[in-house]
Amino acid sequence: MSTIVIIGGGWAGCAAALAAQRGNAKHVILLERTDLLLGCGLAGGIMRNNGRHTAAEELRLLGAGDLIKAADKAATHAGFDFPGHSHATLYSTSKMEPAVRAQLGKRGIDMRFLSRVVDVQASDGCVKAVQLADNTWLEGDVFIECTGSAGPMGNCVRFGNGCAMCMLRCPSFGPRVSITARLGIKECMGMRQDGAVGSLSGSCEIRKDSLAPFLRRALRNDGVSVTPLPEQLVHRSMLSKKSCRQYALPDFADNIVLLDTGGHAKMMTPYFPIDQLRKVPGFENALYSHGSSMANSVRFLSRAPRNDFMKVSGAKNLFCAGEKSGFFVGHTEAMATGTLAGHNAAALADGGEQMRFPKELACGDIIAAESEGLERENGLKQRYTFSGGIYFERMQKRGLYVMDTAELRSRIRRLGLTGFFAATPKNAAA
Amino acid sequence: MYSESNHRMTPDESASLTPSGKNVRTARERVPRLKCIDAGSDYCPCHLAEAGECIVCSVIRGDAECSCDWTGTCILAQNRWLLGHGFRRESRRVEILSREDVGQGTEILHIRTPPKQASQLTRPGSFVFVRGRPEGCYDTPLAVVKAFPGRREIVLAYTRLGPKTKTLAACKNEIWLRGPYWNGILGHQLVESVHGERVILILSGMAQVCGPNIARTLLRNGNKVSIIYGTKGYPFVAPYLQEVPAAYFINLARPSGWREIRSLLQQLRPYCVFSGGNDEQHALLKKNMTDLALEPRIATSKTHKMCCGEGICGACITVADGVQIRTCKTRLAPGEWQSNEGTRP
Repeated sequence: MSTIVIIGGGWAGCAAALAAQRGNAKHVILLERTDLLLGCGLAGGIMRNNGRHTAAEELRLLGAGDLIKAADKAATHAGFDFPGHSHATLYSTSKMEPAVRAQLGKRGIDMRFLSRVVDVQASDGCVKAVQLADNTWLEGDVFIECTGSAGPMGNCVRFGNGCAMCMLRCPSFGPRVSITARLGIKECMGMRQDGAVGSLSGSCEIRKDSLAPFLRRALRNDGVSVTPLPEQLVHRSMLSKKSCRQYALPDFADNIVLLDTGGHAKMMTPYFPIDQLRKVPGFENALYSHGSSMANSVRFLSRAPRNDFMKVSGAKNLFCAGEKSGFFVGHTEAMATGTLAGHNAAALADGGEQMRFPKELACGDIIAAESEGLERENGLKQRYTFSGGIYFERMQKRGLYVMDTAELRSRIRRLGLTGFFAATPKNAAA
Repeated sequence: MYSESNHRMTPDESASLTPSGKNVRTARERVPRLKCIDAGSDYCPCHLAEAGECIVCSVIRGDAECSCDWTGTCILAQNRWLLGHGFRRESRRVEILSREDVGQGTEILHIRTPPKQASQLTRPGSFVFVRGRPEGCYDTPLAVVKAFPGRREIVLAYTRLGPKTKTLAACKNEIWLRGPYWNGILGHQLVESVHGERVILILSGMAQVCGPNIARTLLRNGNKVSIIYGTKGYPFVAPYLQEVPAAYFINLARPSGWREIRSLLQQLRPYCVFSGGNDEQHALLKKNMTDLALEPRIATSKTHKMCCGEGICGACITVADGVQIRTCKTRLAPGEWQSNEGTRP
């Protein structure tokens, strides 16, 4: 029985674990540095906005929709609009992690928490084993790196305004270590529109009970509240620092946009000085639950070189997914890359055929678009998401933004991929 | 708005960021990940960090990549916060409360220190630098036998051997003292993070001074501790180890010595052993434990030379695998980075 080791339990790692399990019987080990799954997804929540709806439906029809379904089930609000975004769903960050953990547990994934990988052993580009922080070595046949690209603290100090004590909790659980970098494979760092390195996470969390009743009511009823900022508090420069290009719209600088993600209200700005925030009507007593007046995590600092099969270039049995695999923003994007990496890792272990998502699907096109974009001028400054920015434009131009599930279903049937990831490779071939 | 980070890449850094998957280096000189004894302490960032030579933080050393393995407050961040106003260990004149000759040229000193310093010196492997004359070149590292924060007192021991210790013997009622330092043993992990196990301490020669602090920590963590004194004469630390009930006196210089140790190891089957003594003793112990099918978890006393204790003077540097290791700062496990074969697979 072959062993597939997934490093990193964020959305990409979870999707990879589920996809890697298909095919012949395997031991799928998911190593997570902290005590919780989902990583940045613990502070997330926005699904199905704009093109993400198409991608979510594609994943579902491809037979890799377990996590999409779980997120739909944990939704606090569905099918609502907020500035620049239509038909969004928000999952409750309080309910999501236990649900995903239960699902992975039920599927027999060997989840190992507090298991930070610190080093790797390889020969001839073939990864043999990874070393954990307690100095033990874990051997495997195929490895998938989903360690993300945010932090650790040293980077948040250098390229941001210091540690914001975000959901990644590096001071407690230790820094992320890039497997690809430890193999001596050159990674690249993203840039901001303003030329600085990396980009800041685009949102922080406010305690809902510290907001005025009218804001709480708006959040409860509509899922969103938009409060105009007084002119002197508008900081347009903030937009160029954001990692989430889809939210780098003037509306998000001129207003305070809050989204209801369950326990917290998600404030769509990297950080905001609290004394200024409290001058805004409704925010007189506002308190941060995650994030602060002055800092947020810095991301997109280590993109591994890869091909469209999600295999890391320069290594024979190492795949990558999520932010590690490209300048992708968002949970849906992580699930798409994770699913593909997991499937191909399983295929490599079984000696089966690896696949790439066809470009006729948004999930395939975004992976291709990201690799193409990287080689272009300013490639390091671009971010890719189904929900906005340059990729959503491309999606619309190419007719990939489809809201009609029936049309998607027939498209995927024509490609012969209906339920592809749900079936074993043998069945799919038949 | 608050100040914004405007970090731009230096030409060097940006040159290494070609956004192409083709730019793959297959072999890279592996930078060792070393642990630092002072990381996260009051004294971090230290002189080395100030000089751009932090043994933990790759960014302080000038690398483009942030790739340390330290779980705790970021040293780079601390360096920015504390630049220019961090703590530094400085020599202070301290009073000798009492001195007692215990024979064979060895003397035990009781010294008055501030309570905070005394409490910092209760950790296994604690030592201080002392000298009997104002000139810094007389500094010699002495292990702390025991510290009494409540009595504002620490106990040191030394043997008259060379110019530094002879000067100490000649001084009257005051000496210069600098501390605290903690890297007097190899294998802190095996001493500080072991709970509810059986542990043996083998104490011989001058290295017996490490015993009391180690025994205290082990007992506090619920371990069963047995002590084997391997000296010819009466061990002078015994009065400071009254809390350990089980003690055996074995003369390791006699041929029968190791036979007795072997039977004790067999009888007690310890989880780990602290070996205070010379390298020969550590090697024999390892051999005996392996023979008895005991996992050779051994912490040892340290024999590296130290002069400044800060990794600056270079006296402590050893070279392993072509990598310079500043052993007075680097937290090593026994056997790690000491041979040319290396212990990493």
